[in-house]
Amino acid sequence: MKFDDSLKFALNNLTTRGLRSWLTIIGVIIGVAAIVAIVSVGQGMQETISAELGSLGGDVVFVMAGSSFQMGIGQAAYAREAGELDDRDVEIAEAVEGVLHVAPDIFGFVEVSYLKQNRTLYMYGTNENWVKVRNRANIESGRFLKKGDSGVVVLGDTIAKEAFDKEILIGSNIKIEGESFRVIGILEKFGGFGSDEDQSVYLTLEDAEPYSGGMGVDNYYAIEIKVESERTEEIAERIKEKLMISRHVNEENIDFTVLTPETISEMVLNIMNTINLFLYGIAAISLIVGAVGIANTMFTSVTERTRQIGILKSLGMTNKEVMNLFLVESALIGLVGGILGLFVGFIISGAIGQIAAFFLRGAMFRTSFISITPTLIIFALVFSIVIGVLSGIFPARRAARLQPVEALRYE
Amino acid sequence: MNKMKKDKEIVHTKNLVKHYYLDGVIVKAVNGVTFSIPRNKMTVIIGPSGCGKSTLLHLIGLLDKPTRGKIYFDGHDVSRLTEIQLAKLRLKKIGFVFQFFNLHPLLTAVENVELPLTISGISLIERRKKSLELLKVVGLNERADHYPNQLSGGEQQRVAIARAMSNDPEIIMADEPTGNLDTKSGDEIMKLLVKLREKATVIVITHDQDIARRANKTIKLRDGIIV
Repeated sequence: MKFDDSLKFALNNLTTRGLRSWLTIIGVIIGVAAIVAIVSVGQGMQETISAELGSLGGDVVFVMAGSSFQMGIGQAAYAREAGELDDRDVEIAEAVEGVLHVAPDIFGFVEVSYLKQNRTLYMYGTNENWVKVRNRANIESGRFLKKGDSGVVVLGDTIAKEAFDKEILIGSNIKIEGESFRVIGILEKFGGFGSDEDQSVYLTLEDAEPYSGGMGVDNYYAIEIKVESERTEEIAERIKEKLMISRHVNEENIDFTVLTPETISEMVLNIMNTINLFLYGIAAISLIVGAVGIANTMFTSVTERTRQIGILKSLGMTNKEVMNLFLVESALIGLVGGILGLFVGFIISGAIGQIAAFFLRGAMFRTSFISITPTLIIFALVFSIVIGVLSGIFPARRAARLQPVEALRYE
Repeated sequence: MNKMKKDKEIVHTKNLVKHYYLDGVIVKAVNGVTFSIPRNKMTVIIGPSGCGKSTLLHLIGLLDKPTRGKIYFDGHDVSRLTEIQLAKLRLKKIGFVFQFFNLHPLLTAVENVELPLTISGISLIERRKKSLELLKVVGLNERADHYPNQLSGGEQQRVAIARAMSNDPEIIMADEPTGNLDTKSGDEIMKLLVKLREKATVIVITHDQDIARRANKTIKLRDGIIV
């Protein structure tokens, strides 16, 4: 029997049992859509995060207090009991060959008042180098902090333009924890993941010290270091070695963490992969349910069509040809489910992208939250056909093995 | 088997036995029968209900395997052939007409007729042309696009005969072809089958003596043996 005739047979059978076929196909659609949505959102998130981390600059090294840097940048602050960073560490970092600029950081949350409106905002305490270290830190108006400044503040873009009813302009006075500060500079919009920088106020280390919960001058949360590009990893390693000697620690009892964009990337992507693995598991379960649905429909179909199978065999159809008829049918269910699942998956991932964009609307991302690649499309289609065929194997074998005379007797 | 005998006989059986178990009891459906079917003649296998005639037809029609004994087609032993070889033989050499017509319910009359040709891999144009000609022969060319449930019993059986002829088989085996039809339709079917012996060997299973009278050879069966 030719393949196109088998295909016609399969289509004929599927359309005859329209409702049941569609219910089975819906099972496949759910499974494939779940996988497509999860993969496209997962890949999109990874690309977004990679792009955001990349935008830190491939030439920035972070030294964080504490060694238990496990969960992400923010966690370091809570794990900083082991050893604070001080000016000696800053000097050692500055002395390493290939280091261009060093900016120590402290942070805290402060109440900012402007025209009788109060907001609790994130505060950076840093020095004049910070704007040189961060590749995306550009001054939109005014200037950044410089040595010897006091009673002045630089604002992130969102703070200046959106946090208060009225835009804060250069030269305005704002109150931080009741103290008056003059706005001397406003940063350009950073955009991107989290965008802490856009929603922060920037003070000198001295001014920030009272609001940093124990951190301050000579007791830093992090040291940000700009190094010669192309040699980031090598210089980061050298900084680590020097600091270990200076702090009298070894790999066993190390009390600080050196991070490069690459290690941060790896860490975040590891977390993403773990989350993705979990989500793939859920999607796989839904696909297995879809596959069981196909198998169930095909078994029912074999039973109902026992007599038809007997007719075909009496007319000279071989076991293999009968098996192929059923496999083509189950593959067709898989394929139709796969195509429709692909569309539904795209719609779901598009919706997730829109929702993400809505909740993070302050951020300007360089990449979309979803990623639909030709590989994903081909994978989804091939995978759904394979699922269809695999689910159809046992019912098809049962059909093929029916004895013609017994099948003809079936009522 | 000498050549002359082989040329005259298309099917020959030797001590053919078919036993099976039904609810733990052995049923001796066919119990050692030896006979020959002459080529291009009409042979009727007659006997009362339950005498084993349908089982015998299934055995010589290669739809079932014997417990013991031999079946020869054109002098060749076919009792030990593989499933694929048996399917090929059914496809090329045998056409079946069943008591309950056994048309494919999802196919039209013409599609049913061309089914053996479809299985053979013949192109749609070629098989459609031949099937329409065959439907004309059985007087149903006007009903080519009708589904089995839109046809009467007699019409369905005529479609079944056209289907049995479509692969130009050497043998047409009919199992109680008129058993489910009224007298007029049954008579028309028998006329068609009698006419068919000009082109092929016709074997008819029946319990109807009138049909047996039209046969060139009659094999009487009772309790699984020839009497």
